[in-house]
Amino acid sequence: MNEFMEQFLLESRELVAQAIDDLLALGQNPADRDRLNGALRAFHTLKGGAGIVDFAAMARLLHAAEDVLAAGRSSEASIPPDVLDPCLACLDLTSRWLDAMQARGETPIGAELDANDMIARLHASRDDDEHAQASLPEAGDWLDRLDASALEAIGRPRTALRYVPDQDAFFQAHDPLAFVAALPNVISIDACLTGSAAALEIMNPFSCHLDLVVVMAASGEDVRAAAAGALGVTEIRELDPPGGVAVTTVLGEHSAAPAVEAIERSLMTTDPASVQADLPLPAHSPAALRVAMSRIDTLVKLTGELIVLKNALGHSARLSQNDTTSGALAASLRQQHAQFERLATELQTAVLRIRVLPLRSVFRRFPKLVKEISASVGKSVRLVSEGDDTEADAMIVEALFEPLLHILRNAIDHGIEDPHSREAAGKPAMGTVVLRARRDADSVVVDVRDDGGGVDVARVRAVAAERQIAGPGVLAAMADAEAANLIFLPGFSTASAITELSGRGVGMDTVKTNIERLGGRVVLETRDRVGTCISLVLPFSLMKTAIMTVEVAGQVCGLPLDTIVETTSVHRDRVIQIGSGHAVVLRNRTLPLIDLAHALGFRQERSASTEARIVVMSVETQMAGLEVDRLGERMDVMLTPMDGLLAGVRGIAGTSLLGDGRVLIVLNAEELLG
Amino acid sequence: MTVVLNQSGAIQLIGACSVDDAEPLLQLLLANPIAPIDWRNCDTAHAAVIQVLLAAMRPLRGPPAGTLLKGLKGPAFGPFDRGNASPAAPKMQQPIGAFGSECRAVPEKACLTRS
Repeated sequence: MNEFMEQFLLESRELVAQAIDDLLALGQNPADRDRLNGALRAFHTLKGGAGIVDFAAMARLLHAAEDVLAAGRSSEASIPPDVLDPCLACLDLTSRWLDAMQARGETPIGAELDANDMIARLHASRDDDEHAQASLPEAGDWLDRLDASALEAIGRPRTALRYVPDQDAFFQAHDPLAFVAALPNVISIDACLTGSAAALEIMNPFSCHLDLVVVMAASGEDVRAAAAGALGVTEIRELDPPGGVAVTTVLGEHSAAPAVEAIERSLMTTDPASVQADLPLPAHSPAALRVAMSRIDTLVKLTGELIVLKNALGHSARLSQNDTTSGALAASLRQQHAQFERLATELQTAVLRIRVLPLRSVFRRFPKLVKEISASVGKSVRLVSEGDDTEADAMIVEALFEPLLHILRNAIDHGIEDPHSREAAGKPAMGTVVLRARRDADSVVVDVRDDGGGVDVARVRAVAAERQIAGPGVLAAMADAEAANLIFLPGFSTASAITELSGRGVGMDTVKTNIERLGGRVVLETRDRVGTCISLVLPFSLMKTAIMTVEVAGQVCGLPLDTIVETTSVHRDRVIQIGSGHAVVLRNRTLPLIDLAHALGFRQERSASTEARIVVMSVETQMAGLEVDRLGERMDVMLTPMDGLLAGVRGIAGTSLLGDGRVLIVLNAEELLG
Repeated sequence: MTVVLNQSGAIQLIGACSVDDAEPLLQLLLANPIAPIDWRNCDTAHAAVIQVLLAAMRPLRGPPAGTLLKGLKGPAFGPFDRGNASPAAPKMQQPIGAFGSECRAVPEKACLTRS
């Protein structure tokens, strides 16, 4: 893929996201002119980009969508909601095209047909729109007809008017040309024929088929007042809002380079607030910096090495401290190490933050999808998004869409009851799904909470028994919370009717696998007749892991800090033998005790020490003790995942380097206890 | 007469061309399929006349005399076939006050009645 295409894809994705934002905001407040203008600018710039990469279908589609929105802007009334849905559908299609282009490096096959279908849908939405005023005939984007050089030369304010007179205007003693010439401060008049004009041979010279575009050095209000006597359809656009004119004027020159420049310029000034110093900047101002992921990865690796060096310095400091002859050196080294540690940590934090994105970029796709999903199952559901400005690693944010979509589908399809059952249960007929993100120490937590009927635990037990997922004894001993978690097992589905949306029995298992692959975990909480909350707990950064080191059989291992509940030391008499295993009672709770040396295959005989050092760990609902030889220190490491032949080794999350150059193996608690 | 076929075979627009000139212009264009149009002496033209010029897409000898017509943009209006001695059209950068006064006279004169 060439650089030009990459740039196009990058910019287009941002514009699609911005247009979706604006359209969704318009859905909430149809009279919001700023959002309408923002959406129009995004559509227009997207269309310009499509033209530059010769993607005619995309340009055609976006042009049609822009026409629909522009018609809304020219009327005084609010944007009708049935216009927004097809425009959002256009953006969905555009997103899919961009994905296909990213994958194949060329414009997608079949785009023309898809574009035709979507344009037909757009036109249908416009036909449905029963406005008293006739709509303007299509004529491309009429701003493209403006003379760029003339526009540059005139002062502000500048306004453009498109005027398509009624066909019988001449019979009413109206001269459209004289009419537009009499408008205030006319700079140029562009005349052409509308699409309905006949060929010279059969034309009726007294039937008006003119399409006039006039540029004036006047404000929109002045032009609106002066054009009040027009006999036909007019559309007025103020040229001074940032972004719009820059693109328009340059595209008229049919040269790629200035157009790219204009798109960049318009991207930099996309938000009107960013050029109006007296207005506060919105919290969601568009990203000002775009950095290639590969460059960031290089930086991240570099800081990783810096951390290794920091650990090495610490090691030297400890060595020199043991050497009693050079106490001064030790003190100095320790001081330097402290400073170095502070700097390295700050650098690491700063670098990791470059990779960070707000969850908004994922969350904003859901309102529309929830609307569609609930409509398809005949339920009424509202989605409440909270904390969408919570940030997480870009990779995590991008990987969250599919799992969240599946959880939402499940919540709507299986969680929320049908309106009658809800009313019978004393709940409002409309169900609520809350999508909430929050930062919790080094984790990002995303909750999907519904006010439905909760997981039917009895049914889950029945299905588990039926499918022999667990023995009857085990199932009977399971607490309800544990039994509900069975829905995350492969192939488990409690849906009595498999619907188009969910209930294929692959979903929740995939959700769990995907989240765990990202280093996260899924927590389910459900209450009968009250609702269900599924929480995805994810690391804030994929690059940094907090661990505690322990030593077994002379080998140092790392344990993920977020799974450690406590460390303790108990007298060996308190370790009970149960069958072939061991257990220990801590605070009246019996925990299985796993000898880490044995678990890792080190055939070591326990020393005769009277104390057993235990790390108590918790994974999901399970708790266990790990017996180790020595407890080490807490440290942040840059984890390198296992690859090649070692990728499949169970119980190991990855490796890092210790200060003395030894390899530190970081263990995977889930797999150790599982 | 404001629309005529001159001796060199060009269709000439002269002075102020009203709405009533649209039909004769159309007939001349149909009768002379390759005749160019010379509007160098045209001061004003009704939109109906301009519409016929747009539909004809013939080469225009210009620029026209009237300021409004000189400033018209669009596929049919330029670059003009300037002949030998026509001065270049001035570049329109400032609002041209003459637009209004020059053209407001046209509609009254060019009122077309439904027959």
